Amino acid sequence: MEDIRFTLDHCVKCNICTSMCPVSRVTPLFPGPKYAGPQAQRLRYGPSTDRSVDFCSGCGICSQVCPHGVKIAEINAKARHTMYQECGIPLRNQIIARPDVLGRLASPAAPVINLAMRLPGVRRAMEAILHIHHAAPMPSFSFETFPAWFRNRRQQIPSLRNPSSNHGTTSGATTPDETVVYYHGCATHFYEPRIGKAAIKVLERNGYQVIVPEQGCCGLPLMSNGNFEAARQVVRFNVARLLPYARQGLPIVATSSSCSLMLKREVREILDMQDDDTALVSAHLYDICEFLLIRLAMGQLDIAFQPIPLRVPYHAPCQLRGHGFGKPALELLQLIPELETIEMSAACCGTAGTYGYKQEKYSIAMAVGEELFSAIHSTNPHLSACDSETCRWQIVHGTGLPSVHPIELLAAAYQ
Amino acid sequence: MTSSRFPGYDIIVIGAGVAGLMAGITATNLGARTLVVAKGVGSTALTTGAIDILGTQNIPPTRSPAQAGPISMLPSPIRPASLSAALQQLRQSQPHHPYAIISQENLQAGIELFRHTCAQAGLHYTGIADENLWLPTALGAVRPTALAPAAQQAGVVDRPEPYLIVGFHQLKDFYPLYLADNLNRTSGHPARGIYLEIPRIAARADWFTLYLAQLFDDPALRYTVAQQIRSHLLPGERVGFPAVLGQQTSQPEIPWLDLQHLLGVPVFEIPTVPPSVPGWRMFEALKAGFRAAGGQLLIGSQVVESSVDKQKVLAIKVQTAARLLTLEAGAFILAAGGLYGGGLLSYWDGKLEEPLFGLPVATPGAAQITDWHRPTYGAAHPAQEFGLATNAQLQPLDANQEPAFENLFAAGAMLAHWNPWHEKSGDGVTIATGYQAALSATHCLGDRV
Ligand SMILES: Cc1cc2nc3c(=O)[nH]c(=O)nc-3n(C[C@H](O)[C@H](O)[C@H](O)COP(=O)(O)OP(=O)(O)OC[C@H]3O[C@@H](n4cnc5c(N)ncnc54)[C@H](O)[C@@H]3O)c2cc1C
Ligand code: SF4
Ligand code: SF4
Repeated sequence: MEDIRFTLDHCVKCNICTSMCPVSRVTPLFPGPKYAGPQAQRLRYGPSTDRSVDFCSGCGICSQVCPHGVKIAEINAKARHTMYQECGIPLRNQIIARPDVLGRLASPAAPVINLAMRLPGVRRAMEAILHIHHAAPMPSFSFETFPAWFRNRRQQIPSLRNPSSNHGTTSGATTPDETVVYYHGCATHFYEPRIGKAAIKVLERNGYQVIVPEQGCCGLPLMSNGNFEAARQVVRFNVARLLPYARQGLPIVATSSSCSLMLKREVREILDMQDDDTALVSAHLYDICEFLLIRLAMGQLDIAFQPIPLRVPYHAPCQLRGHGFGKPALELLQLIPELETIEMSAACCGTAGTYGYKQEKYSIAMAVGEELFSAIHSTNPHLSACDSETCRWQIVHGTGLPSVHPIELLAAAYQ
Repeated sequence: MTSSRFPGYDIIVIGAGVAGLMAGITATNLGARTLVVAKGVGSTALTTGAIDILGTQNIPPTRSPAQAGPISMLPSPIRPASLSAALQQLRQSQPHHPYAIISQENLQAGIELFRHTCAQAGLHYTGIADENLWLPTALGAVRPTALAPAAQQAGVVDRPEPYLIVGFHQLKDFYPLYLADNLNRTSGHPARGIYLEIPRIAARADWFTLYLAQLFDDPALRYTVAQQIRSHLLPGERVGFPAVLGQQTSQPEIPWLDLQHLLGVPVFEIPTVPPSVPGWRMFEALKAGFRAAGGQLLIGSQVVESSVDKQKVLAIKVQTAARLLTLEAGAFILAAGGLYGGGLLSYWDGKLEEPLFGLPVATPGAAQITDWHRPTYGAAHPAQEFGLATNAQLQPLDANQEPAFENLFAAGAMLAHWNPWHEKSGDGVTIATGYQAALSATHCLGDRV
């Protein structure tokens, strides 16, 4: 594959990307995608040329709207990496980039830690020492992790036991094309097991046997915090765990649209991991709504949904849009009687993974998200839906309303 | 699995420029389940937001290079003659022109649908039925156009008021004094320019039009700007702004109307270099219209292949992050833009290609690559007329001049035998052909819709 940085040659300087960049619109600290991307890239022979590229949130909107195929967000990600190689990665970035390590340390003591994190003094201290903004929407750790729930459940229901899996397997058919592998990612693992439970419910309802292999963080937070080497390591770890299933031709389904985009594409385009094993795993990865919509097209989705009389504003996260398959959740939610899903037109919630946690970027992230927050408020004062975890947490923070993954609505409609 | 398939559509439109969105709106209104898929946002935000139908007349038909005349062969502007008469003349002299193959009724119906769609989004278009409006450009020239956003209307040269042109130091490529000097010459009206200050404006490398426009959504800022203008304003003057008066999409005309109200004189916007806010507003209005009609929009995804049999297009394939996605439909509309928009490709050796269906690209007036361009800048270059030849239903033709596929239609800048730059007919042809392509495609679906 050609280095994506060469796409700069297609730039005609139309500034469409700049007009759409949610960050440079709200802050003069970031000069915008055309400057940070194709323009600055011409000058980047070796040493880093511009520190302001750190203010690019990596949302990817610029690459989606560019009429000429310039991979601007990807160019910026690589430039950020070069910059951090020169000036070193701050401790803060090292910490927030490892949600799996944090989860492993914190989950056993979840109640205490969650309580501590709510104390204003603790968050102020974190801000002073680590430059993590005190108001940033930190998720709560779950006492029971998703894999623990999954294992326990298997032990309670003897018919679910199946020796062929690492962590566990659920009931249902056993033929290979009715088996799926579930990649839950860190958020479901440590913070929101409810999303994994919903996914399992929906998949099982449709007759799938679900395998949940041992897995680690997808590496996206490490990559976006400039630590490419560590990111490649965790990707290699995951590829090794997922490869046997990909070799069998089993679909690997993920509930986080950011993790799945990372493993589908960013590993190749940004981390330059061009090996066949990674490619094979990428080729078998599906976002869960993408997967279900494909099943619907094949006439293989149980559509006996019970009514949910609700009006739900839906935000398709930037990373989901980056998959390039549209908004499958919208089509699936339409199948639920009485559920009215309203697509939000605001581009970005602002947080872009860990960007909004950072002391110097928190207010930018909130300014970016403002349009979305007020649109949600004017649509429905009860609930919103979104496919990506950090976006949901930001939306909850910005709106004060709960936010769910579309799979939770589907699971609820299966009763 | 290297490819996957989603549920199908009645009609799939490739391209989200004006042609694609107008086709999508038309098809959705006619009851077709429609998807518009595009790799990027197209050329809409680069335009002035005004709709050119035909700005020149006595356009000579494309001639072979041997007959090519010097630059003085520029066609004459339609001023003040009737638009419909000029269209009629064009239809007769150029039978392959899109205006010649589309009926006058469908051209009008398409324009009406466009107008209506924009009005639903709070963006009103004004224009006289049969005459062009002459409006100032950012260089102080005047240009003919058929429909203009209401916020540009008071700039017309036919009005008697002298011009006061205001600008901001932050905005590059808009020089009010230079503009006024030229406008004085081109319009014959007195014109002067001044710079205004925006209080507490942040220092930044570049203030793009859309960023400045964002500031004008704030009523307090409009109030201070109006105060400054009032101290300069001479009796009877009208006030021209760079087109940055607001970017919010819910009521796009409010900032302009408010300034007009505060100043008590006619206020108008002059479109800037790209990306232009009026073009952007038009894009937003069309997108909103398409969504409201129930259409699905997928931007950021490139169509890379098609799957066809002898008579029909069966499906297109879209590049997603990890695999190709197959999308099936009963009919397809190709509105992928021309050589600029990416729907047609050209190579150094003179090869021209329509990459998705392998349709032949017509090159009227240019047998070989050395004929593509004329030596002078302002001339009508044959390359500007390259594109797909079609029949009256806008079905692209194969090498034997037969419809290539019974369910494939084409619209917009992809089409051959017209020259948006020279004729000043860009979005007129684009809207009309987008509309017509959707009519034909829906018709071809028959009972399916
Ligand atoms: C700078 C500029 C200024 C102009 N100003 C005016 C004006 O003021 N008034 C006026 O009337 N006209 C103007 N025009 C002309 C007019 O805008 C064009 O005729 C019109 O924009 C063409 O629209 P279109 O929809 O055919 O193509 P485009 O707007 O080019 O759209 C093409 C679409 O196809 C998509 N596409 C291409 N290939 C693929 C693929 N393989 N897969 C998926 N999608 C694909 C693109 O992403 C895009 O969405 C201007 C044009 C330009 C370039
Ligand atoms: S949108 Fe694409 S072509 Fe236009 S300035 Fe940005 S990178 Fe360049
Ligand atoms: S990735 Fe997002 S924040 Fe970064 S330049 Fe592109 S649009 Fe702006």
